[in-house]
Amino acid sequence: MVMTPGLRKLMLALHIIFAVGWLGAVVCFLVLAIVGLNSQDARTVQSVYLSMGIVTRFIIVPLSFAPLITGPILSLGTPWGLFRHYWILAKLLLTIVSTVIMQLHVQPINLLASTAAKATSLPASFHDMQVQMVIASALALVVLVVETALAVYKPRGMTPYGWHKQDEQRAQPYSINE
Amino acid sequence: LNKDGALIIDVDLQPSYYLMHGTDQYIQGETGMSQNRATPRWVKIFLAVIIALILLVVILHLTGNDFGGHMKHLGLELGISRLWS
Repeated sequence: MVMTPGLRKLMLALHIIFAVGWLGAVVCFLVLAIVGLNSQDARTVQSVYLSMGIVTRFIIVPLSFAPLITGPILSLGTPWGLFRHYWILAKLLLTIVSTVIMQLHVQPINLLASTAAKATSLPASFHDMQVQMVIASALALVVLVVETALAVYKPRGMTPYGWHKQDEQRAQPYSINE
Repeated sequence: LNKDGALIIDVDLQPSYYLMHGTDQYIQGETGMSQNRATPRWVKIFLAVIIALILLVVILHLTGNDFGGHMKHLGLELGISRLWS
């Protein structure tokens, strides 16, 4: 099924908005995680982890699911397809992995936020978790940058399924209406 | 064709055109008969990096050097809930 140009542009715009929004939110999260780890001011640490909880719940989690919906719709609605080109498969794999890892980290983020809301300072036993927030968000940022690069450069390479579909299409008689 | 007679290609709708004239000389020759169907090197490197990262995470989790992994979170949460109750 090939989408109409108007619908395709709309889906592409939505996909870019969600993906770039997700990347921006992860950058904010990384900055907050670094400040939370290094700051000596108890009020700053408390507000940082409360903010991280809010950013995660209302921005990062919804935005991590949105490209998983718009991406496949966009690729299936154009001749690019979802399984024909390696770069599209790589993007899909990275998005799924990032979303799963994101969901796994929601619980510790909420724990940090709820503890920061109750206590004047975080217990020393939370240090490992604070470090993990920095590492996880830095890795997420790298993954999202790689995904953006894949989408822009579209590196060559068709899957065996892609070659098969292309051979099928070439075998069909050419029609001007297609 | 636009009003000046120039050919306009929408690469989003023409993947084969993009791959032929885009970032790499992907399909060689006018007839397109000499196509390289081997898995590109970047795909192999990408898979190797992904597998290495997965193995690294698994090993770190198994050895307990996972910067406060998820099992620790659960234990920590139980401790905190007892602390506050």
